Amino acid sequence: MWQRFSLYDLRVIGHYLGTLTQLFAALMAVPFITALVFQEWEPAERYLLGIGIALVVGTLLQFLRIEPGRLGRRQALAVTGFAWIVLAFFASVPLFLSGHYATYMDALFDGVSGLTTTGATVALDIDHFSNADNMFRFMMHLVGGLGLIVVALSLGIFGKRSGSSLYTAEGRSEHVVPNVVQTTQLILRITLVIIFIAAVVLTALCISIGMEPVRAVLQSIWLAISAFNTGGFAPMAESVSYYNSIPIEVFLMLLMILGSISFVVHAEVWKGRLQSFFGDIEIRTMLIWLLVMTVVVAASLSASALFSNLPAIIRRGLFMVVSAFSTTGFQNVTTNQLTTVFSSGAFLALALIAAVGGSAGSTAGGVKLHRVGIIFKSIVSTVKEAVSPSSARVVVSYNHLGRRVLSSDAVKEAMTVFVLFVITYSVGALVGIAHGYEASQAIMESVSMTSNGGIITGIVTPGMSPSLEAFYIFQMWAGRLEFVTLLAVLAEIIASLAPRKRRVRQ
Amino acid sequence: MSRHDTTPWASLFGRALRIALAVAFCLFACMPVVAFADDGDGEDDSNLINPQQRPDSSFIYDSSIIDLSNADSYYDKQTVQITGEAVGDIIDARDGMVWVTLAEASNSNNASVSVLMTRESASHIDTLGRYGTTGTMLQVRGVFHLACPEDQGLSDVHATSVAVAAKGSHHVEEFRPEAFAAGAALTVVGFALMGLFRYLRERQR
Repeated sequence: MWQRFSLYDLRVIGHYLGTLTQLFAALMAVPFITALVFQEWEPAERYLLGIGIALVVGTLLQFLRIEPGRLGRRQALAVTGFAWIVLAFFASVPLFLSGHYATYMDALFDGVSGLTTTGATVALDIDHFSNADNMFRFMMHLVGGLGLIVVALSLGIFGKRSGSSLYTAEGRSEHVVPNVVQTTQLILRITLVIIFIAAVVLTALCISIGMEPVRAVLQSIWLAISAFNTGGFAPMAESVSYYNSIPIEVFLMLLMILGSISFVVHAEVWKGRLQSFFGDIEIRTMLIWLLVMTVVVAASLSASALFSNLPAIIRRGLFMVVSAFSTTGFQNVTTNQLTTVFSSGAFLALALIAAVGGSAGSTAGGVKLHRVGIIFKSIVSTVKEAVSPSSARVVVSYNHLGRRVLSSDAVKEAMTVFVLFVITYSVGALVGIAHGYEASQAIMESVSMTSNGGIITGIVTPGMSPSLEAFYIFQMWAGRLEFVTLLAVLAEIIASLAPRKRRVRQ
Repeated sequence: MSRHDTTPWASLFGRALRIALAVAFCLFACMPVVAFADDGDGEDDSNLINPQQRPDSSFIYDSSIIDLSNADSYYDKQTVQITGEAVGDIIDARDGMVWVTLAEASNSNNASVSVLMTRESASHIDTLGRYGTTGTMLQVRGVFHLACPEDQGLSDVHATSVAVAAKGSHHVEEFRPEAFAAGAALTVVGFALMGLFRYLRERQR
């Protein structure tokens, strides 16, 4: 029997969503301060308005339940599920008022894209964005990549009692340290340290190619955030092509790969346990997968008449493979090149790479290598069982933070999420085709939205069809939550709206 | 009126008119054409715009940046002429050249193209397009590459001549305290509500 939301549940959910909205108001203070520093008065007005709206609405939501008590699992699922879309609505206010969006829906799309670290954008005239607007876009990537709940927990906003259920509801189950709050704090610390070091290196690289120091610093911070959080927004319309710099591209590739590795594995390396890094099922799957797909893409690109010289294949092909694999969405080729210069094989290979994505417990999206590894192990187990005597008990194990035996629960979870991803990729592609687009483009765009990949091929454009845009927003949202949380919440909402059946007295 | 009816005066006038037109055409053709920034003949540095250029049909394409951002292989290695706003930064390139990003002037989309030009050509850019600044409008003639073999597959234009079509401008943003009123009022109300919430929560405990 499906569980229903009671009025008490809704009040508790409202309270916690209000708390997250207040956190978002604090986040908007960063672009507000940026606007004041650079004397960008019009953006400053917008962000102050955004802060005000978020504070008032957030606090009013908190009034729904003044003492909310401990958050249950179902309530935590609802808070996590709705947080992404609710906060995107608040994000869309200053974005839409900037005049960089053709429609309100476009601003909402960018809000969802920013928070879910998809990185696809429908903004107009990106090259003239204010520093404040850019800062806001990349702050969304930062909190979205870490996870809204992780950020809130690390700052001690939810308290210790509700932490565990919220942490699990956001799709994270592994603890770096036993305490959830301490785990989130360690994740935040790792992220900030890596982004700081990356920003320093990128600043030096940007200055070396002739950029002004202030612009070099700002764009380096933004690029570092976007690359490590596998976001995909870029400060300039040409994305990474704008810099025309091999060292910057190589460094961004390294950052994207780091961002697509689980925080738990990062923590192991942090502690000096390199053995668990190289023995991990995800790292091994990642290395094999990257090697195979790079060869496939390179071979496919070599068939292209315009793109067949080796330096071009290595520079453009490898970067796009890493960008797709990490579901970042940075591009060092133009959207036009993807559809005209890239061979259809290379194009679809990129879609497949993005569909699989990075590691579970990282900022990357997609099915995740961990699940692919488990499904592969499950196939191995099935084959072993088939060739073994009926009395034999087949045990298949894998390394992921220690040796683990392949359990039916792990296989079930991996298969369920895998199938849900495949269904969503397919439905999204059909929706794109139904809107009159080419099948290959519709597939790529659907995969990009669901895996939060962000490599776009010309369907996602300013002022695009609202129905398609709404579906893509849903795909980004569902993909970020890896479906289960969202489906559970939707099922409970439907159950709550359905009329109660009366018991027939006998 | 037939040709035979023409008076000697009319015939003389017609001949004079034809001679005058021929002389005017010769003078016009011999006029020193104002050079592109790259031509480097240095005849008149102050006038960087070539007013005769637009109706001239000697170029293979008079393209827009939008055309190039949607170009197919037909455009590859063709000489094109584009006009766009110089945005962002001047990025160092190989052999003492620089990259300048030209964005479509209409600002209604994100169409832009990387242009490889000499540092001397780039020196004519007085402002680069950013927030609050409209960059110098450049008219660039050059060879378009859909996937440039020299730059590892970059889609770019190698400029052969660069001219300034319009100077850039800064837009001064005035500080208007009244514009902050709505946001400030809401923020104050928000903080007041937060204070009230804390007070009520403490009372409940």
